[in-house]
Amino acid sequence: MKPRHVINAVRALLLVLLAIAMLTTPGFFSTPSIIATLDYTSLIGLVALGMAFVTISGNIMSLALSATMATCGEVFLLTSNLGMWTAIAIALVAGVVVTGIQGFIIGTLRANPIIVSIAAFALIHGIVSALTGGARAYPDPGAEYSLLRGRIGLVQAPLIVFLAGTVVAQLVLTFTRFGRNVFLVGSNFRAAEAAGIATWRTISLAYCMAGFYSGLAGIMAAARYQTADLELGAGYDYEAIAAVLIGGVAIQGGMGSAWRVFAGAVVFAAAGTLLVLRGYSTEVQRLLTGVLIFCVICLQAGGAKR
Amino acid sequence: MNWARFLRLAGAPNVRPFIILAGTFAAIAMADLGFGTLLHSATIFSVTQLFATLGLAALGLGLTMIVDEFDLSIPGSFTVAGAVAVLTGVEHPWLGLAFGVASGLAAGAIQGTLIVTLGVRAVGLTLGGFLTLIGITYILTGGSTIAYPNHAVSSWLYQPTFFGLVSNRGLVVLAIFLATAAIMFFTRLGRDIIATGSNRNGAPVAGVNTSAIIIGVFSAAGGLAALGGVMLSYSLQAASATQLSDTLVAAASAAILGGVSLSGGKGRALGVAAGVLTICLLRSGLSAIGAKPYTLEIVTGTLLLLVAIFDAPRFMQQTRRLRPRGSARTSAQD
Repeated sequence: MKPRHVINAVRALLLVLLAIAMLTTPGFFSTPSIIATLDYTSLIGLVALGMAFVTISGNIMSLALSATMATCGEVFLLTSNLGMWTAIAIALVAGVVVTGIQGFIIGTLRANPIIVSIAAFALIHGIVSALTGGARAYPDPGAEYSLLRGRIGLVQAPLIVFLAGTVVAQLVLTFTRFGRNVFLVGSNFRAAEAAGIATWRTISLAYCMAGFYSGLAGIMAAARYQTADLELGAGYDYEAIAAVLIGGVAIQGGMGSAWRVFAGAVVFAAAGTLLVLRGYSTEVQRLLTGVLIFCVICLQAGGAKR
Repeated sequence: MNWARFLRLAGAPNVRPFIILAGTFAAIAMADLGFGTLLHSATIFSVTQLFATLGLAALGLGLTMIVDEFDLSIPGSFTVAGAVAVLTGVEHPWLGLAFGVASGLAAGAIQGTLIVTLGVRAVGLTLGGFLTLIGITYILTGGSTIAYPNHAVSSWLYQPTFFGLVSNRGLVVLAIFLATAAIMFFTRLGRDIIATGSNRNGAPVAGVNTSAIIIGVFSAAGGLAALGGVMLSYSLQAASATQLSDTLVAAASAAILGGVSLSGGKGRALGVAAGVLTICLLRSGLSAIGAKPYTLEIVTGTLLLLVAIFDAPRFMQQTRRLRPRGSARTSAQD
């Protein structure tokens, strides 16, 4: 039996177990539970889409996307007096610039992506606290952004943004030259360079995409909670990379798709809701996230080695 | 003056950590001028206490970086060991210490073995390990802070010695740094560790058992971090899962400032000690002279970013490319 089949079998088994758990857990298919799950899926999923660009481009993960998300949320609320679309644009530009600089450093100098992201995390936290004095951000009283909080039946605005974001990410990855370069740079950096690809540009752009999607997550979260501080995205780095890996994006880069990230986010969020409904604490959730990442990486590696 | 050559001299991994330490000390002393709080023995004691807290985690992380890996689970071993020791060591502190260190050793050994047998990079795997260990700690502590009612142990660990400049805990950490430095410098084991980090595929040709080295280094890293965690929990008489959540940023900064190369094969235990002292000096010094808390984050982040840039494989190549403007650009850049 090929390792690929083993992995698919494990995946199918886990999905069946998840489905059984959903069906046997009372209240999972109630409206509030579904809305909460979809909301959680959308926010995790948006950061995960951004994380996927980093992972596929061969840079493992970023530990600064949660901080970027929080910053974009704050920027959005603080500029909300300028009108919703202007505030969105400013917040997204902030996210793209902050993350793009990291990508530029990593791409041109081949600096260690994990260390750069840890440094960026500390710098973002420090600079944002210095600028805001550590105060929470609140929207301008006259600001109008109810569109971002809208809901049609079970479908909420963040979910629509996440769905659209997934489609766009998939189109970019499949049909643009940049998208194909991301895969090539991620799977074999030297070959990509030998083929004449400006690897620094590909990596910088991949990080810009990561900043863009984290920014979207921050804006949607800030609009939903009507306030934002640096704790807005706390823990999202870990949850996003969990969703990316559960979806089957390869940790070593060069392989993956937006659909996989979408599936990973849905499975991860559904598992979280199940634990909450079954009365397990957030502690158990964290343990499960860790064990899941551990198992997925071992499975991936076992599959790649044989 | 040829500034690239000057930078290279000052940036030699053996020298750099001590230059950064001296520079940090001078900078804080300048900012402190007229207050005189920096050289107060209480400030120095708080620096060495922080050194005792962060030192072993940074040393463990540094060791994994020397073999060209990166162990994200270090703060996890640190935290879980503290909780294990507090739960098992009330009557018999040595037993708690043994259990705590054993939990870190086991976590490191399991991860090291998986890294070797599956051929994965450590970053992803140890991310899973980190979250698992933190989750275990949450369950052990029930999500709250658990107390350690053995005062004799904590007061011995806290006992200031050596003119009141360092606690017994600090002396233990210092002794471990010296022992590690001796092992790295004088023994074949130390050279094998460096060889594994320099060239993992080439080292076996020279007779190095790289698999054993990697498993050993990860176990040692887990055990060192665990020892640090146990001593901290004993000293604070408490353990919790959220204790020192920023250990990773501090430990990584300390190891890198201490001259451990991100590309593996370079690094010295005493350099790491200097790196840890730099971070501790920054923390205690900045708060002693009344700087805002975010100053520390900005300074640490900037330092970490600068060293990451300076240590990057293409830093020299890119700076050389900048000098003859335009002419040296290669096609790979366009």
